[in-house]
Amino acid sequence: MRASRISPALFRLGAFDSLPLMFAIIPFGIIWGAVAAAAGLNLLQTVMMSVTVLAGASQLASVEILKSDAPILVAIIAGAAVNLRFLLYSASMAPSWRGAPFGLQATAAYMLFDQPYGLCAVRYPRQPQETPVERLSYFLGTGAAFTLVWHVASALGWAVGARIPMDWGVDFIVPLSFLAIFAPALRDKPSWFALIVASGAALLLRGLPYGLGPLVAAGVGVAAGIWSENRLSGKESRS
Amino acid sequence: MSAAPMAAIDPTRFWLLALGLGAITYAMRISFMALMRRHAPPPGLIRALRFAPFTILPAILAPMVVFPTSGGGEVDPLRIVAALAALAAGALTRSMLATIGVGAAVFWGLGALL
Repeated sequence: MRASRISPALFRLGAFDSLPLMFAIIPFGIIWGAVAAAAGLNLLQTVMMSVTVLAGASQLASVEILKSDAPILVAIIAGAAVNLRFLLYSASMAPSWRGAPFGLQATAAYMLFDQPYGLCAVRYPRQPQETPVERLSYFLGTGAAFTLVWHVASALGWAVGARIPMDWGVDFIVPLSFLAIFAPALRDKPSWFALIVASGAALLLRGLPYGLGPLVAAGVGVAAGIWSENRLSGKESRS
Repeated sequence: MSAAPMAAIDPTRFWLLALGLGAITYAMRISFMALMRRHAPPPGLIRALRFAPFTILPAILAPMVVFPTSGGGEVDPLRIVAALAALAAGALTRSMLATIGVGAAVFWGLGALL
């Protein structure tokens, strides 16, 4: 019984570890609210789209398309393409959560977006003793913290709207928040090699449609990391 | 975000988008949890996934940094330098706040001076 209950301490730790990244979620939520208001969405619609989709970049992209009188299916496909990375996040979290009650996994999956995913993907390999339910407890803490702040920020953005200046390089915030997730976790050469190869591949493949570029580039980067790790361990065993 | 008054989006179209995109997005998020409920992850997957955060997050951010949409896709050296400085600071200090602080100081601080 004990093993299937979430750990309040790890839930709190997940929420606490999320705090430095709020600098990115708050302006991004405000932008979503402001764009939704400018597109003519009311406050209920603005918040409800975050409730049903909970993925800011896809909400922005699909509403922009819907505004232009495009067919509804085009807007849905464009939004889904932006979210294709969640397939990789799902594959990445599933082995760590496997064996925990499926209801907990299904609840956590609802909040599987960049920041909670990234925090857990770098934490789990360093805490191999944790049980699936303990890992989920941490994830749910970070997911709940980001989701709550996102809703408050988007309601604020809807209310304040176009009065917010947008010409101060606000689009650097999302890349910076990603860097803050993975840079402190870079320890070994294979990880650096995977990072460099994936970044280079993403720049070369940025013309690929449907958001496939980053996914293919990540696959190439993972292969490069495994190759580099094999090479290093081969050297050690020969010496 | 233009100043021209915008005709409201038709409510039916809006709700179809919110529910349709929401359903597809959730299906992608839960896909591998559902799959691995019955099937064990293939050996080697866990080893490969160790590299996932060091590949998918950089693969998303590298094009954003090198070809920012706000500059019409034109290369902005300040963004590249700021991102590299943040990467170095994060790897050296192993601190999230130092990563953010150095990246922000270079991008907004140095950017204001230049």
